[in-house]
Amino acid sequence: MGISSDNQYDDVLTDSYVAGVVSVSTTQVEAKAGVTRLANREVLRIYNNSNTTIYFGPSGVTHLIGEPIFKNQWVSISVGDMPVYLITQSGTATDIRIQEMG
Amino acid sequence: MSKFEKNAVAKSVPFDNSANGFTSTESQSAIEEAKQLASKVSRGPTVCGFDGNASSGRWLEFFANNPSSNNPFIIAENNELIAISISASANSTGTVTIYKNGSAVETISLSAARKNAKSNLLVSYSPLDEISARVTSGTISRPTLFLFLRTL
Repeated sequence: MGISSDNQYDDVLTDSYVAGVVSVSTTQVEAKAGVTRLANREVLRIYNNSNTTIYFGPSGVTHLIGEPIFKNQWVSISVGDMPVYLITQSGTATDIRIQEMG
Repeated sequence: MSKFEKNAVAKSVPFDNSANGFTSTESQSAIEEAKQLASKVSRGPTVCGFDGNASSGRWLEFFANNPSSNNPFIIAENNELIAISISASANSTGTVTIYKNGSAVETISLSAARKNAKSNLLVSYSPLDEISARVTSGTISRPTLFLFLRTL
């Protein structure tokens, strides 16, 4: 958690919070809760609620270069207006929970 | 705060297999491998035999003077017969048949020998199933039959 001595900055996220579900296949899909990325996003959380391992990374990610998120594993990324993509090695992971906070 | 945070699940935790005979390299598989190994272990043999020359037709006894046809071994929980072995007091030629609820399920033979063993069996038993055994051919000197069962 970032801490600032400047009173103009919050130490906690209070602006927005959205959640959604995506399906991930062998074609990359962006990790976002809605149709577009949350405006002024600060944190992205990805939870793999499926039986299929998914991989995250920048555009062009594959299972060979992406970082795995195993079944029941989550990752929390401090990322703003920059896409994070998901992909599987094979098959479809149908229940990937996405949360975005700003 | 770190830019990336991630929780650990068993599959993401490395497992050191360099000195334990395991083949797994992560903890999820190692735990499953350990379960597989444990499931192959029998509880130790159940024994029946006959104190004398056992000719064809002779029922072996789990308890002295109690032929297994009258007093079979009663299964208490789901089990699997995984191996059998037999010994005789002298070289013998004959066959012992093992029964499940009166139906033959396995045999083991001696051919001018005192011992034999048979493994990789997969005979399932349920609670209250009956195991009995008898010599069905030849004559075996003081046969002792060992039944290796594992709980399912």
